[in-house]
Amino acid sequence: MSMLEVSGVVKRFGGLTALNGVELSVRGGELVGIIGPNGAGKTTLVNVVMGVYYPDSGRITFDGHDITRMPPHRRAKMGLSRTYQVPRPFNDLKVIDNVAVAAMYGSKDLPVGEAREIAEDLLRRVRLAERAEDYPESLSVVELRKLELARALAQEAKLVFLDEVSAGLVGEDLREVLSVVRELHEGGMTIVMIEHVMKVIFNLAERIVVMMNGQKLAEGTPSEVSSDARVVESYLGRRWSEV
Amino acid sequence: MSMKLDLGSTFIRAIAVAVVLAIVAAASTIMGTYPTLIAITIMVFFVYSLSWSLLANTGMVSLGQALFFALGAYAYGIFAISYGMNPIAALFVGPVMGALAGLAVGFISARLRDWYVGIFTFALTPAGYALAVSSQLQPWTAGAVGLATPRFPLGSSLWLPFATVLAFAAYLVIMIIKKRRIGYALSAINNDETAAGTVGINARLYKTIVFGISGYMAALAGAMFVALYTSYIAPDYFGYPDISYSVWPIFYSMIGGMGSPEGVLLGTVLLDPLETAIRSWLSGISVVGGNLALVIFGLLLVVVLLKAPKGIYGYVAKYVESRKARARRAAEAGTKAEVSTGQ
Amino acid sequence: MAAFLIPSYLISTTLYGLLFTSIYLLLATGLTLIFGTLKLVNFAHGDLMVLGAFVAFLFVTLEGWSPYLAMVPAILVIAGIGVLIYRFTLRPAVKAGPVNMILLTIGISYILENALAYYFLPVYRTGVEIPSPLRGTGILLPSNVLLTYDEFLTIVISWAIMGVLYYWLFRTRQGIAIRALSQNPVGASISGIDVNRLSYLTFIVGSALAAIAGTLYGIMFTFNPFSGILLTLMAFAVMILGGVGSIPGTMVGSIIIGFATSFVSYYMGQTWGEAIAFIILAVILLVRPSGIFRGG
Repeated sequence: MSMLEVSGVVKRFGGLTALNGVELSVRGGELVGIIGPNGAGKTTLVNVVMGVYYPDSGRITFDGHDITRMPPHRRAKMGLSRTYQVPRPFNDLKVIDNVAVAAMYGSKDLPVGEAREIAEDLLRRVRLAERAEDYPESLSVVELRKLELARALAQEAKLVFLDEVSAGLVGEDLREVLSVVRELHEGGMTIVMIEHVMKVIFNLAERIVVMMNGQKLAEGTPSEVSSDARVVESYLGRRWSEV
Repeated sequence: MSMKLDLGSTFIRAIAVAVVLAIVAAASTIMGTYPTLIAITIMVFFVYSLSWSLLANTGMVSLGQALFFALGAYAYGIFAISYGMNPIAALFVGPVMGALAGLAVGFISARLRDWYVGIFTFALTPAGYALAVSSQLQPWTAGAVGLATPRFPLGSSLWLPFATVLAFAAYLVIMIIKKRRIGYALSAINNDETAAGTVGINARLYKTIVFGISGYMAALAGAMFVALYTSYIAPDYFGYPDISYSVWPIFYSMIGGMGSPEGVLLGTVLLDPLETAIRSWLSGISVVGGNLALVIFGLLLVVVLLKAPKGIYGYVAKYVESRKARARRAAEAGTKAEVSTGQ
Repeated sequence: MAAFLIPSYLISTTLYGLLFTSIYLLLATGLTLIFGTLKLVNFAHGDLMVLGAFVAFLFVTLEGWSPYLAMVPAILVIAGIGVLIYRFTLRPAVKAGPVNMILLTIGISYILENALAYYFLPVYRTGVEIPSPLRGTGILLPSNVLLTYDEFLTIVISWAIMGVLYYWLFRTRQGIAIRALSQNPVGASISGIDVNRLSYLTFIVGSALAAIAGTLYGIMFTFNPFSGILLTLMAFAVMILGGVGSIPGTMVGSIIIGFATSFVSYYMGQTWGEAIAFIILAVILLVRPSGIFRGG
């Protein structure tokens, strides 16, 4: 049975239809990639699943519960989490407390002391322990991404959306973040990665969903998708050879 | 706006605040009756300013905090006079009205974006004033004439110590909030409400609760003001038509440094006597000297907002932090030098 | 028969509704322009209006000018003060964020009110009105209701100015640029619009509208140094009701608040007349937390 089921979701902003009947199904333990060009509706899809906006029509279920119009914090308590394309740390809290607050209010309600202990462990796991007592302002992009991953872990999230976790990263930094993602997945976390280009998730994802103009264009294993004529023509086009 | 410019551990800070409050109380008692009264207002406005900064540090700017202040004052007076309650009990029970009003205002404010909270709270003060002077409520409020309250049933030498203890208690409440789970949630909400929701924090609930606590504290300040200082309640405590009662906590918090309760204390201890002194000096020169004093304070607020947005305490804390950082860098450089000579 | 059905009551409340609408419209349009273009919530707007009324009052009482002519120096002085406030306080504080900006305008409001009180109270004690030579004369409407020439002129001047403003905003290059700026500041600056110059222009126009509103208000109603708060609040109620940043919405908001004020004042007393705007405001904030229209 699938853990997350998005069916027929429509979301309009004024005259613009950002999501036009999206279907998405994620099974527990999967690592799914969602790709698509700018404006395809990827981030809107994440926002609708997380409850930042409610859809105009359609239905979202998580763990068998209808969450279509549930407030965001209750979705978090059920085990849904995300990272942001532009990281959004809590700037007045130290790095360790950024993670601890997620442990305090995530799936379980933990007291401060216990939450900070968990946060310390998690920071070690994502290799950010030496920055625990610093404030997020002083972190690099790669460190901020790890902080958000640690926050999702601290919530004991069952399913995490990673919104362009690779954006702005190259070389060693990119490999570092992707290896953390892989470890989280091997640790049993269900992950949906939103990416702009396929290269990043080609070796990571078990299944790829291609989005275009607010709809699902294609779906399949990375090799199936990359050889799908429609995908190659309408999205990847000639640039496929370059990416 | 930041909570992070804290100097020293919680315990040391609490001791320091207790010492400052005790010094203010002791020194003014030695100096005489008038300074003792001023010291009482310092305690009152410290509690009041803490109530405002608690909201501001949760991302809600109240421009009508006097609504709760005046509700506390009136509730104290009405409970003591119309219902014959012991004034000491009324001082603590009256502010429950402020807490209830705070929860109601907070319920709506929690759903509003940034400046709408300001306009909403601001718009409530004329309504409070209208109620206070309305003929229907005149039997309780005495209308525009105002309400004279009975003498507070404690020896007058105990009034300042009593106010000082309440002020320290209010400080402790703020510190406890900061150190408990709720404090972490409030910081997260203040920084980024959407991200706070993502980690499972119910921002609306916490904002409503905070408004309730703030309403109680502001109302307690109003009740203390009447019980220990004026013995009289006027409709203009609602901050209308003159907005002074809503602006004072903003002055003290912003100029002192709203990011920490110590900054708020600094602002209140420095500015409250200064304001009183300037005001009485200028009032001696002209009948509208008081207005001129308020112009000066308005200018001071504008200058601080422009030049030191984190207030005096934020400015000092930043200076100390940069000194520490320099010392740390110097020490590191020293260690490296030793290592290199060792090789 | 119910009181509100008596024709003379109906006619005079309608007349006052129109008067309030005209003045709120001028005031709130200035506020809306400044908010839309500069994203600035100006809590001192009503105080600028009262200051304008006071400048006109001085020219009338000390120099013997006609109140309608005295509007000109009021506009110049208030526009000048507006520019100074913008240049030296609000503009440098844009980076400080919305909260500090709001507190700044509150501080400015406090300074203006108390400075005005400092000069005003020793001489005039209580509230004043701007004396008009036309006082007491007018056109007799049916049911013996007098439409004074001052009231007539107020309505005509307000709507004429709104007409000019609409032409400027919707038909001239400059006006269209200002609307573009209010809808999309980044896009506007990319497309070669001089954002800095337009920002000043907006503040000047907004302040001038406040001065006009103030003079007209002062001719008909009593004002004092602290009248500004209530007027600021009224303007906010109109702006939020009409959909923040929308000029046509402001007109709808003015009509609703203006007529509500007039009718409720007439039948329930002035206290409730003032309170009704805030009751409407509170209900809107409760039902649609971000105002009638989103955005802004």
